[in-house]
Amino acid sequence: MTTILQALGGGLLRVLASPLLVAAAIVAMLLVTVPFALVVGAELQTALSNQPPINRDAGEIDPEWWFEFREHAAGLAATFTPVIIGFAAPLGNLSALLDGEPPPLVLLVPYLLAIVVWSFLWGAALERFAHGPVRFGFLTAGARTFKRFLVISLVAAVILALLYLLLHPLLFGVLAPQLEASAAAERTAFLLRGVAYLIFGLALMILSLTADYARVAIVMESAGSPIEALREGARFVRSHFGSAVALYLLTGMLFVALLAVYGYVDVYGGSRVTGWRGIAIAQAYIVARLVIRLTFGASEVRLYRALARDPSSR
Amino acid sequence: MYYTRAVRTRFQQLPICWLSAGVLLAAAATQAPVDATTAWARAVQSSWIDPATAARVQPLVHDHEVRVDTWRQQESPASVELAVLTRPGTTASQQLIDAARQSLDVYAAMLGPPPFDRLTIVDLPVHAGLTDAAYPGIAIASVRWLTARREFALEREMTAAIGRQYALTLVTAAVHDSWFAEGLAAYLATRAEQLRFDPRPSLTRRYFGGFVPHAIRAVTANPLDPRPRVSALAGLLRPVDAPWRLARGADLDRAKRLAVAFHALERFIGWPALQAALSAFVQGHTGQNPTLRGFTELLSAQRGADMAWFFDQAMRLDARLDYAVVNLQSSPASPAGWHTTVEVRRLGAATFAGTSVARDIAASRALEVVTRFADGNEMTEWIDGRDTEWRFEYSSATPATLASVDPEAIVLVDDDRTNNARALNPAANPTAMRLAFNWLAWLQDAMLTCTAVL
Repeated sequence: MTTILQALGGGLLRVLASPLLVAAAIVAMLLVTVPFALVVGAELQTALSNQPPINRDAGEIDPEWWFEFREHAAGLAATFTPVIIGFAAPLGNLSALLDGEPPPLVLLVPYLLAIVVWSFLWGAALERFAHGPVRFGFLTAGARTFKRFLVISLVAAVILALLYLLLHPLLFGVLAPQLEASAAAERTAFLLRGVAYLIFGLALMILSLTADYARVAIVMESAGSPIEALREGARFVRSHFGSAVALYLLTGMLFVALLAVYGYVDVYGGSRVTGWRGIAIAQAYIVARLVIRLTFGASEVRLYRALARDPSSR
Repeated sequence: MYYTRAVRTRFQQLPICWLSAGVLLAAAATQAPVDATTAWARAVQSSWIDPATAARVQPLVHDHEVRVDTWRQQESPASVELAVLTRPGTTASQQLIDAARQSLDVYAAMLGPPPFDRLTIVDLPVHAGLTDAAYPGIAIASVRWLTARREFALEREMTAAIGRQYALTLVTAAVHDSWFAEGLAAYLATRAEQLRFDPRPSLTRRYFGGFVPHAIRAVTANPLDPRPRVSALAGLLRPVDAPWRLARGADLDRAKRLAVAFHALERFIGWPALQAALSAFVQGHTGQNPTLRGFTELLSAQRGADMAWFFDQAMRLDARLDYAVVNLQSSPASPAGWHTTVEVRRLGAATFAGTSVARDIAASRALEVVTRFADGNEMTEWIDGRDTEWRFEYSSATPATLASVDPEAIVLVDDDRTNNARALNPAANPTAMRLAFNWLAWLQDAMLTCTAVL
């Protein structure tokens, strides 16, 4: 347990001590998302200019305007739903991930871009977490492992798609409805649905851990090709299942805590959709989320270093 | 009392019918307080609930607690006996009774005394799949485990359920396939919700299989525009294939259209006029199987003018009803000032005539076209919606900034209201920018979530 806590604490401190790395992640995310936001913003600008009677400055959005906008929106603008507002955004995205709601096809482009960008970012970040800035610069480190990381992400994406096609329908199309129907109370039904969430979440976690440690193995020079790395990642997770899962869950708790804080601030902070405060809170949440994501990588590097070559700990 | 009333037996509902009758006779003979099974059987006896649904509900209510209450209309002999069947160990019965009583108050004020004298409200868990089921004298509700503070889930549910009871009394067991009644029920629910809730409910979405609610407080139907909300209709018509729907398929589309048309009519003739017509119709047509023609005749008689033109066009599902500003130009004119041209076009075959008088006899003033100028001045024109094109030219001191047809959103049956206005050189709208920033944060989060395991 000490090793896990040391990995988590050390990883978090390492990320916090690398403000330039966090800044690079923020900039990369903005570069990927801002062009799409400009497209949506232009459509909103036109819609609100043409419909001033329902353009309001009171800090609240008229659902009637939103209803009309959505009725005729297409492409990216069709994703402009009330779920984008404040805490509803992470809640909706997380719920969609677990409930297996397929994303709109138009979002596949930004999602693919995100995979590409993170394939580069992970190379630069993990290199820094594993060896410090001595071996390669930021760009060189990212470029050096980019192709291999991209392959790992794409393989993981294929497995993820298979999970959604094969496992998810079994759990949420067959098992969960039967469990829920057997419950007398709604609370019990939700708890039983939680069983399906746990099983699917476990599958997602194993996939994520394998991909994560495959990347770590490449950076730590334990594997050369992506396939070797995936094999090594799977081997590491299998050999140190308890430690890997415990670290993952502990780091995940940081995300849960962040969600709780965001939910509280969003609900009780009095932020309004048309005010800047809500936007600032949302961006602060994104920054914190990036820090946590980098912490996953940094702590996993530490755990791998501590356990991979230590047979006694297996 | 509710439990000692004579019960009509519906022979077509065998064998549930005979089973229920046996239970009822036993209960009546002993005069003992009835249990939930008996109460449910009694409700089934006096309704035309389909046997499959009745049989599904029966085992679910066997352990329910029964509570009876009476709603009375002030200064009126009208009353409704409420029997509430709730799951054991909950405090839902009082909530349900309060919600039902408040809804009855609203509807009684809207439409007059309820044309029914008893209502059995059954609380079933939402995963039973029967939430919002309604039959004459029966309303099935779900008291949710988790609710958001400004969701008012139960209150809205009861508002819709009691509106449906008003509509249900119009139809009969033999002929209850009625898109008119379905559309009327949807309209009544949105109208009553508008009258009842202040502050209005926040838009609430449910996550994680529909169990976890989150109220998006920034999206609230706040009464800047005090008229009823049409956006709430979609939720009222789900699930579309429920066995208790009075219309299906294309007829359900017709029902939805009717509900929107009622809202448009309300905006056109005013709520007092529509309220009077609806009240007379509901009170005078119990069990007569309502038709749109019947309602139109009553409305026309009340207004002293033929209103057939409205529904004839508003209910056309085969034709588009769409008015649009297709051109707005403002250019400098010599020696000074600006010259503005506004062109409005009817893009579909359906029309909003505003009158039943033939076009070649007289033009109507059906639709408003407003042109706004940079100095704040406005020009208003009235057009006959049966024509196809209109062109207006103005000379003004400042350029035009906006032209809008039907700016007050009277014609809600307009298929595309986003083309009803056109702006010239609009200033950057800060709200649009802020909304785009919200979308940006959502996209960032979606990317991080979707790629979290990759």
